Amino acid sequence: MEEEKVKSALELAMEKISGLPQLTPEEIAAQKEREFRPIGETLCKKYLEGAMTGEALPAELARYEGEPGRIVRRAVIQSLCRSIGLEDARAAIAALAGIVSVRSDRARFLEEAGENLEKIIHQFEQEKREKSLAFAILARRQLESLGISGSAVEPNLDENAEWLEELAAIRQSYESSLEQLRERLLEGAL
Amino acid sequence: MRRPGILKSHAMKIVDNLYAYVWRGNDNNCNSYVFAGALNDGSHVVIDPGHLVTPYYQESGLDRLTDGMDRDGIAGSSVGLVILTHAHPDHCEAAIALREENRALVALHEADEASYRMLGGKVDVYLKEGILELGAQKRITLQIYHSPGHTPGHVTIYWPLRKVLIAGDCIFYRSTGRTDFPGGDARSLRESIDALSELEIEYLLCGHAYGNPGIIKGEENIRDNFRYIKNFFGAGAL
Repeated sequence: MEEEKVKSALELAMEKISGLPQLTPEEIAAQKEREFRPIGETLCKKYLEGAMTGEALPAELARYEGEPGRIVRRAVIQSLCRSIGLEDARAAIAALAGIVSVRSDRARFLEEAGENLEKIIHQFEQEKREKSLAFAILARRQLESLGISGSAVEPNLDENAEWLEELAAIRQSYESSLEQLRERLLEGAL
Repeated sequence: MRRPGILKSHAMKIVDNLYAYVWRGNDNNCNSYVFAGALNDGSHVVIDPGHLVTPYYQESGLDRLTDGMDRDGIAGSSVGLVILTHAHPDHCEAAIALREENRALVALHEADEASYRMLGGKVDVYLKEGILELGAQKRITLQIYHSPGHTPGHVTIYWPLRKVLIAGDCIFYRSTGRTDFPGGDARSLRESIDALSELEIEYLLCGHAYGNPGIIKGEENIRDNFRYIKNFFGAGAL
């Protein structure tokens, strides 16, 4: 009788997986995406929270080569683009500066995008400021009509339904321009 | 909707259309003050409506107040403005219900807004140091003082014409507001009290009935109360 060979754990495991179907290239790509995308998103988060400087971003990205490197970089750029919003001009400029530090080879394109971004945010802020002043005057008049007035009184527009409606409309009117800019940035920076 | 365990409050007319509702329950709650019919539509201005329901004995705070107002012929359902001296729940909790149920506006100093928000409150009007005019025809001119110390955004309300000071939890009979809560500051409280002691006051209306109903009448009694408290400060109490 032939003596049965004792198999190692590795051999047993290899035997088991040999019966499984091979992953397709798409599945392998998706797996890598799942593995490396969160790394890029975390780098972006750290940068935006100030835990990492713009100069440190390229050095961090350099730790990943080949396909993983491309995935991490893409995730960083996409996350930075997504974080560009109207409400926080400083954060939007910081996000753009982050993209510049990752894609210094596209400096000119990004410079133009930055100018456009500043223009959109500036116009939004200006319109918001002007209209909020007008609403504050209106709110004061409404309070006066109720019999509440004087230098101690400052209407809180954040609880004023009419102003919040107006603010949403102002935001909406700039959001489409900003979305176009985000798309152009993604196309140009990726 | 009525809340359980209603108690009668001790109401008194201070001067003109200013009423005091002194808390007489077992739990801690504040005194409330009302300028009756002060707004243009005849609605009332309530200062510090207190607890909706007190936390331990579940005594009705707001119903106590509105029932008292009703007994005085001041419709408790017709409150147009709530002024909060500060954002501690024993002063401001019922303001949330008055805003939601009676559509009353709520006024508070901005520095106390974060605390008020934590309780679920919303502020319609920020109060800052300056003049507050109530009503158009029978105008009441009040001076709002920023009096921090008990809280960062504590205000006191002075009515120069009648020499009335609504002091919230800045000063009490023979005592002062606590400064050991978050945002409290003994030095600021001392400075606030020093500034208020310069006013001519005939009626000192305190936020709590500690030691007496919380209503001190007469200029000399009030000066004496300030002197007592300042001596206390001098002894390093704050």
